[in-house]
Amino acid sequence: MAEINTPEHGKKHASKTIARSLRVDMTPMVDLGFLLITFFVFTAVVNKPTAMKFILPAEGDPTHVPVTKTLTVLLDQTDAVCYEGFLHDNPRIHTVNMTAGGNELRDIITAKQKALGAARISPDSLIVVIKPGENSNYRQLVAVLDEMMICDVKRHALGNMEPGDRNLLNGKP
Amino acid sequence: MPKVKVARKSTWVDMTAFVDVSFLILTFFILATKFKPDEPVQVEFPNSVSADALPETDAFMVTIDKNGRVFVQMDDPVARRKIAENMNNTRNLGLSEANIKTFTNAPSIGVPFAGMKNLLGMNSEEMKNAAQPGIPVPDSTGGELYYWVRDAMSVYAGKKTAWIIKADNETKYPVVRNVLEAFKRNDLNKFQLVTKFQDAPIGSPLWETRQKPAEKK
Repeated sequence: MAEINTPEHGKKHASKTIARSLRVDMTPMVDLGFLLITFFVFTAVVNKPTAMKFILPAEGDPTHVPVTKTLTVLLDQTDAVCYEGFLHDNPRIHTVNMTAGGNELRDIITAKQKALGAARISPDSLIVVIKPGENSNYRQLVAVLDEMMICDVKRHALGNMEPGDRNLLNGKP
Repeated sequence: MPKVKVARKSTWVDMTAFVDVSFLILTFFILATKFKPDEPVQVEFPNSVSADALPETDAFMVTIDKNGRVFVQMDDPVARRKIAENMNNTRNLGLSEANIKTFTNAPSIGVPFAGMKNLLGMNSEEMKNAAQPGIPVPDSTGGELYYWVRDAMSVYAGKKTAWIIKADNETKYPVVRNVLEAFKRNDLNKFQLVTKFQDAPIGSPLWETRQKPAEKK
């Protein structure tokens, strides 16, 4: 595409100002421009971090929760233990695996919501108490909070483990 | 039948307009690019379905790495200067004017109060390589982080501050609890957790609400 500018009238008029073409080849400039664009596009951060709202219960007297509407989730190193109601009532205990990213916890929560609905209690009144253990990590905490969002659990709270919960975690099969 | 004459045309294409466009786009990308600030720790934060944008102004961010080291970060240089002056006066850190200036430009801090003068006395290259042990948050009293949060509250007073927690996937929960406790003791209960967006699982209640066309609120 490059053009060689040659004098138009031969050697006779060499002393005169040579009439040159005013056209400049822009092709390398376009190349450069798009090269730089490509660089900036590739270095741009594509996935910006998002924020997850997290609200702790305010200090004060402990809130009393009704047995039928409560689901407790205990977090251990790789799995979680859930039970409905209170521990001293010998509730049914589910152990769910948290590592594989499975739906076990979601299934339990939705089953509980359905059960509440069947008993003519609003599924929104379900209260999930999350009690992370000493061995659990942040990933699990966020995963459970995420389940709360996914299953649309309106009320959930972070709680501390009680001795009974600790025994349950230690004694699980 | 007369021959059809095909006019010879030059193959020269005028690239000027092309150049204009390419440089316009280039300018846009240069201006829109925001460089990542230097961070002393690499933190891999968890995924979540939350789609809210992370607030960037008036933010106080606590970073916890996977070993449980705690760092604080503030976006606003003015606020950083204020908090440094404030702490220098109330806690006798012995910081000089130059130290405070370094703090104003520092990306994040992760040393106990006792080590601050030493850290801020370094030049930026040394600071980048210096091992920062993290702000002590030993137990549920909140440790020194409690004072950081308290001072940040007074600096940001009257503004809608975002309290951001950025922790690694592998951070142990007790450390997270202690950090939360430092906020709780300052009567702060609302946080933003830094996460990576992922789509809501198909078929879940959240997915169904998101599938619906946007309704008026």
